[in-house]
Amino acid sequence: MEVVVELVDVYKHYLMGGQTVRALDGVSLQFRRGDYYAVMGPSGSGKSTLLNLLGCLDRPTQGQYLLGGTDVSTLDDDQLSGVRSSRLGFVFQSFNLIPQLTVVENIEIPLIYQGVSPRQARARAHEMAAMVGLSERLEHRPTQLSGGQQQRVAIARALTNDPLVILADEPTGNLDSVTQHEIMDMFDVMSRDGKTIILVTHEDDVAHRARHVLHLADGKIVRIETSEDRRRRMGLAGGTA
Amino acid sequence: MIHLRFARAFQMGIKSLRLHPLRSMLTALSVVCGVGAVIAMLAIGEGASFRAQEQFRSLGSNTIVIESIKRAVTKESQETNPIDRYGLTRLDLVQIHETIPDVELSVPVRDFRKDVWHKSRRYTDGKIVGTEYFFADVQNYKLARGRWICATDGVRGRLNQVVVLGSDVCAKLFPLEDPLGQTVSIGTKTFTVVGVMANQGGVVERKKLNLADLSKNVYMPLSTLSAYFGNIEVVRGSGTETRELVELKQIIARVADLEQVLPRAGAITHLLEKNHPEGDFRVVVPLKEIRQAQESARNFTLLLFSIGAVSLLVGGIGIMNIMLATVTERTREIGIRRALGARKIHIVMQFLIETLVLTTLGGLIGVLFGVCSPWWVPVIFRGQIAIVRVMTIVPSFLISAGVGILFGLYPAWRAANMDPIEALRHEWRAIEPGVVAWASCPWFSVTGETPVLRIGE
Ligand SMILES: Nc1ncnc2c1ncn2[C@@H]1O[C@H](COP(=O)(O)OP(=O)(O)O)[C@@H](O)[C@H]1O
Ligand SMILES: [Mg+2]
Repeated sequence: MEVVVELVDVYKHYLMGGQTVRALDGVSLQFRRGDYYAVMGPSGSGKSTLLNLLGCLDRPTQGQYLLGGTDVSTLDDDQLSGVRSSRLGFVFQSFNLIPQLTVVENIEIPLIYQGVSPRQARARAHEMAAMVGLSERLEHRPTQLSGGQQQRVAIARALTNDPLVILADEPTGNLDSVTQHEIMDMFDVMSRDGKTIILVTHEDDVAHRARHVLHLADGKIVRIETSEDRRRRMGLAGGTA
Repeated sequence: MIHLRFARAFQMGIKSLRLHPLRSMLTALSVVCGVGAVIAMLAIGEGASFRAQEQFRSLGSNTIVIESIKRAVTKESQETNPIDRYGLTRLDLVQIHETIPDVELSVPVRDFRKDVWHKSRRYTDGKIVGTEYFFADVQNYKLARGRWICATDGVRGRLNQVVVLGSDVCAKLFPLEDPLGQTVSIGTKTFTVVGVMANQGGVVERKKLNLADLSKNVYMPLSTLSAYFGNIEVVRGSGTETRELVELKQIIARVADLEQVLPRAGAITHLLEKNHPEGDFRVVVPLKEIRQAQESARNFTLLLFSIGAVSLLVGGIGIMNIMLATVTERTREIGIRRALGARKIHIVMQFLIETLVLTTLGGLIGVLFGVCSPWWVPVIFRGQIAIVRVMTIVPSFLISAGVGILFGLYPAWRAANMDPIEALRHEWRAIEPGVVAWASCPWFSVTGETPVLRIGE
C-alpha cells in the first residue's frame, strides 16, 4: 500500500522560560493507506504535539512532513487550512461541535470551507448523518444529543470530506464504557473501509482496537508494535507480576 | 477567494447573534440611537435653517433699505437753527435711481407720528406713512382686504383722501366693524379706508434690524401726506419740543439681480457718504442678514451633526466592545473552524458579517426613527421643526454599515489570528453579561485570561 503520511526526522521545539522543550525529538515514521495506529505514552511525551503536526495545525521546527506525497511542512497558513479541509478529518475528546449549529450544519463545515456549493454540501451531510445513524436528528442542536451521539456527529463531520487521514485525540475520553465500545466499533468500520486512522489514547482496550501501537516518550518513538504483540506482552507482564 | 456565500454567511451571522438575543438587541440599539440621532440632528438643523431663511426672506432679499437717522443735536445748533433738518432727500432718491445700476425700483417713504381716530377710538402707537403705490410690491407686502393705494390716488389736484391700515391699527380701531369705506381722522383731516394689510411675517427679524413694525402703519400717498401735513414734524420730548424737517425717512431700493445686492448696497453707501458727510443715514441689507442666518444655521447644523456623529461613534465603540467579548467567548468555536479548514479570511468574514448584521439592522431602524423626526421632534422640542433631506438618508445608513466594518474589523482580525491549537484548548464558556464589558474593553487585555488546559492527556 502507498505511504500516505511520512515524517522525516521531525523536531518540534518550544521555548519556555529560556529553556528549550523538545516536544518531538527526531521522529521519523511512515503510515500506509489503511493503517490504524494508536499513539500511547506518558503525559508530556509529545502525543498531542505529534497529532497537531500530523493535523497540519502546526509546523515542525525541523524536518519534513509528506502528506499524500506532498511536502506540507513548508506551506503557509492558508494552504494548511486548505489541506485540513480537504485531506484531514478530526475527532476530538470533547466532540467540539459548534453549539449554535444543527447536526447537518456541523457536519458540512469542512465542505463549506472547501468551497463546495451549499446544496451539495447539504446533500453530503445528510448522507453522512445517515451513515452514523442520526438521520432523525438532522435539525437537533448538539446540546440536545447524548455524548455518544455527539461523537457520532463528529465522526460524520470527520468523514464528510473523504479525508486521507483521520486524527483522533482520545475520542472516547469523555464517554462511558458502553458508548466507548459503540464509538470504537465505528472506528473499526472506518478502518475496514480503508481509512488511515491515527488515534491518541491511554486506554489499553482502545489501543488494542488498532492494528499497531506507537509508543512515545520524551518526544521520541520508543517502540512500534502490533496490538497482538502488545497484548501478548501485556499478558506476559501481567503473568509475571 | 472567499468561498462562503454571502447570503449563507448572513444567515449564520443571525444564528450566532441569536445565541444572545438580549445582548445583540442592546448592541443594535446603540446603532439605532446613533443613526437616528445623525438623521434627526441634521433634520433639526435643516428645519432651523429653513425657518431663519424663510423669515428674513419676507423682508425682501433683493431690497436695500436706506433710513434717515437723527444726528446728535448740539445746544447751539438748536438755538441758531430752530428747525433740525437732516436725513435723506429727494435728490438722494433721484441719484440712487439714476446712477446705481440694477436698481429697478426706488421707493420714497416719509412718516411721522400722529394719533389716528375713528369716532371715539384713538390709536396712539401709529405712524402715518406716505409712500408710492409700488411700496407694497417692493416690500412683498400682502393685502388682507380692499385695495392698496394706486398710482392715481396721490395725483395733485385730485387729492383722494384714502388710507390703507396696518393690521394692528385696523384691529384696534375697527375691532368689530368692517373698516372698508369707513373714515378715520388724522389731525384735522378725514380719510377713507380703502384697504387693510395682512399680517406680515418676519416681525422678530424686523425688530432685530431695528426696522419699524409695519402693522402699526397707516399708509397714504406721499403727495397726500406732503400736501396735508407739510414737511415739518414737531417732536415732543420730555419738556422739550423740536421741529424736524426730514424730506424722506426711508428709501427702499429694489435690485434686479440678487447677486448684485451687496455690491449695489456698497455703491449706495458710497454715494450717500458724499451727499451726507455728517452720516445721518444708515443702509440695511436684509440679504446680508439672510446670508448670516444661513451661516449660523449651517454652524448649528454642524454642531448638531457632531452630536449625532459622536453618538454613532459611541455606538461603534460599544459594538467593538461586544464583538471582542463575543470573540473571546467563542475562542473554542474559532479553533474548531480553523481545524476544520477555515482560513483566516473566513474567520474575519464571519465576525465582520456578524457585526454588519448588527449595525445594518440597527441602522435600518435608526433610519426609520430619523425619517420620522418631523413628527416627533416638534413634540419633544417645542417650537423646533425638522426637515429630513432625502440625500441624508442613504449616507447615514451607509455610515452605520461603515461603523460596523470599522469597529468590527479589529475583533474579527483578532479572532482570525488566534493560534488554532491554543483556541482548541480554550474552555467552552459563556461569560456573564456583566463581565463582558470589562473583559472586552479594548484597553483591558482579553488574552490576559488564562486558557484552561486540559490535564491528564
Ligand atoms: N505551546 C507549547 N509551548 C511550550 N511547551 C509546550 C507547548 N505545547 C507542548 N509543550 C510541551 O511539549 C511537551 C509535549 O507536550 P504534549 O505534546 O502536549 O504531550 P502529551 O500530549 O503527550 O501529554 C510537554 O513538555 C509540553 O509541556
Ligand atoms: Mg496531550
